[in-house]
Amino acid sequence: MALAGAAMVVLQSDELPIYDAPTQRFVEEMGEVEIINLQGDRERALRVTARLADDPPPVIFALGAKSAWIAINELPDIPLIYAMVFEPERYDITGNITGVRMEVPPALPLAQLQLMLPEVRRLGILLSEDAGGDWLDEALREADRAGYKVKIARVPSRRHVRRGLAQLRGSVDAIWLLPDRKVLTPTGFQVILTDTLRSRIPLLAWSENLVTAGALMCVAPDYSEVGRQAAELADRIIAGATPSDIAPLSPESFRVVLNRDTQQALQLKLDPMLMDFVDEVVSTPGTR
Amino acid sequence: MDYPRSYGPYTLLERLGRGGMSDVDLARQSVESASYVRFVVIKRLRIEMTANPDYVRMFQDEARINAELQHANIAQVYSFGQTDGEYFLAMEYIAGADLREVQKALLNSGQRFPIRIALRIIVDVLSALSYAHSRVDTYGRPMCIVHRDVNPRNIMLSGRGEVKLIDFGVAKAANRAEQTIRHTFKGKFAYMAPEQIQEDMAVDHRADLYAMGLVLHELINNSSPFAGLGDIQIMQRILTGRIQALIDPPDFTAADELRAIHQRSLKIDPEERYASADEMRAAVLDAAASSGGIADTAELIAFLREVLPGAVALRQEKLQGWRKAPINLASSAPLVTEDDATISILAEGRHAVRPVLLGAGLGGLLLMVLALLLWPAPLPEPEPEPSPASVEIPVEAPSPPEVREDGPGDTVAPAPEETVAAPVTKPPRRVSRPPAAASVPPAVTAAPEASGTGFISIPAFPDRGLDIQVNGQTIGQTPMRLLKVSAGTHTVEVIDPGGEGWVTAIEVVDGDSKMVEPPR
Repeated sequence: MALAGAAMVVLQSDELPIYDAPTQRFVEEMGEVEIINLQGDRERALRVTARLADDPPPVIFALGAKSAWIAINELPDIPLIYAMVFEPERYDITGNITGVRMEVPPALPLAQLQLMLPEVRRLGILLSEDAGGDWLDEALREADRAGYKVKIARVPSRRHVRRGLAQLRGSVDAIWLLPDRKVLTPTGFQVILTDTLRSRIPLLAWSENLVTAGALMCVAPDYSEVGRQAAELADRIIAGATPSDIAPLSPESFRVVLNRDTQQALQLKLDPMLMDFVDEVVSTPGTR
Repeated sequence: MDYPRSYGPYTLLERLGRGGMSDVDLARQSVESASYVRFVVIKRLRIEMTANPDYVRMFQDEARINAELQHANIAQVYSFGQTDGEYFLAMEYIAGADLREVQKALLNSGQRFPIRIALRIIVDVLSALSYAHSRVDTYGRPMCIVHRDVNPRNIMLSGRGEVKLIDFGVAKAANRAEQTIRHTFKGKFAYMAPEQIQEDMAVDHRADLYAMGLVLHELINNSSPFAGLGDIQIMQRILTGRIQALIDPPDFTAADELRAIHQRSLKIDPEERYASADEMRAAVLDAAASSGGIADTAELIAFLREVLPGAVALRQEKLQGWRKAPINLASSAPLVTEDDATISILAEGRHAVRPVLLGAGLGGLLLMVLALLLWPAPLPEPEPEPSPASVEIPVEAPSPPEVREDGPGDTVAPAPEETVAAPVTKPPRRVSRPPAAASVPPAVTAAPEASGTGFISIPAFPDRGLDIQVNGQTIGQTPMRLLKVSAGTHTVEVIDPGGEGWVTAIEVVDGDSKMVEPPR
């Protein structure tokens, strides 16, 4: 179990800029913290976990699925807080853990879309054939409430993304990307991006990285706030709470991210006032 | 934005303010060969505003009008130009405080505004207005400039003992190109003449004299005649002329004369007011002369030092530091300007300097992709969420890792260099944790007549960080997006620390998302 006096550990899965904000905020909140980056390397991860097993920190704050997964499997006795993991259950990231979830209530991106592009009334969603569940039901319910007409194109796999896009073409004003990982692979995303840019259809995404990669905009959790929430959890664990007794937190603060290059490519004119509601304007690297 | 940074011939030093349209920075302008340094204010029309020709024209109008005004009691515009696609104005920097700050400081310390200082301020501002009102263009035609926004925030007292009228941003002039965008803020009613409130009435220079009557009222009575009133009540008071009389300033023998000036300047009918700023100024000087006169420059300097000692000293210290210190900067795009009185509006071509890229560029992005793609299979699979890379997401649930198959040799403690990162230690900082960030505040309910919920977003107009009240309940600061509200009609008020702002009503139906439109 945790040794008194040892520093807490932030375990980052990779060298990804999105981990900077939660890490920095966690360090600010907690004081002495050791930051370990696994750099996406399995061997390195095993060496690190072996060392941590010998000298266990009181809490591990794992950023990303890889670090959370390796920690829960290699260091099951050390209290774990995860963040920056979509659908942790999918990776069997369960046990003596708690964390900050990444799901954004679907009403938020829809409301933002309504605000920014009021002319969009028909939404397309591309999903794999077996995708579904409460999250999809909620998304569809919210879209209906917001007055959107939704058309879903189901495809068997990522290799059939073009076929799905063809089903949507001409009958939707925007495409709402949902985290269906059977469809949204790097290749799948590139196909969707290219096709929608060509047809001048905005892509509403769920993550900042997808926006940097070319989607028009997203409402994503405020990653710095995620670090703060993780620090809250760490406080409770240090005070004696058992991680598995603490329900994972939902993000409390969100950011709107807009890709200016994509906006220009789509020839979308936005009221300058609306830019007040955009927290970050990004460009797609290499587009200019 | 990082400071300091190079901006044409200027060095931007720090942010002074941010308005609805523009950012305002303090800057240094150096001419090394002449060992010359001066501080200026750079007002930059925000890049997103340049897409709207109305905003650009308003900004250009401000530059044009200001360029015509060179007077000791008016903050001067040095140049107007464009860089990095941004329009900017370089203006005189006044190291001091605005009249509102001074009023607050006096109020906090339980003091009244000294009558000699108050009258000096009134006289100087009237002098500025007289000059602006009577300004003629190159061809001798009257420019008919009306400031239209005379209030304590737009009157600056400098540490050098000067009084300066600033911000001709909403000024009206005969040749002003853009007359369509008007800002009517809630609190600004408190300085509006009756004819400004009644939209069908012509507004001329006498509206500024009415505002001066109200400034005089505040300085003598120590409070606004409309303190604590709502917009509607303020409008009623202005339109019916129900404004309380001036009190008798202590140790001032010409109180009756001052009261008469106050009453005449606040007449509902402009015809009954002073005909000119000069006439009003002469009346104030006459009244002052019979009771000891007005403050001189030395008195004004001493007054400001006494009332706001820290602010003035700190500012001077800071400026001294900036004056001497070499500043390392990144260079920026070349600047196109037209200086001083020769200002004309420049062509709209933009420099092709792109905005700062976020992230690591294409190379970095590819590295992210590779980092995820190269993660060996047995581990839990790629990051779910992450970068475009992370779009590389497991199709199947992760297979159990082949954790120990590498043999015991791999489970020993890593070599020192593989401990990845040295412990990062920062002093523990238990910052107060707000209940929830402002992005998505708790839902506001107040419209019982309809069912369901929607969202409203409230812009940073006229500024960021202003208090927002929805249905009388303070819920955060501007800008605020996606505030969940019950369906129905909601009253939204935006109020600045001085009690100024705007108010509007918005109707939300279930599932709706709307931006609250500020008055224009």
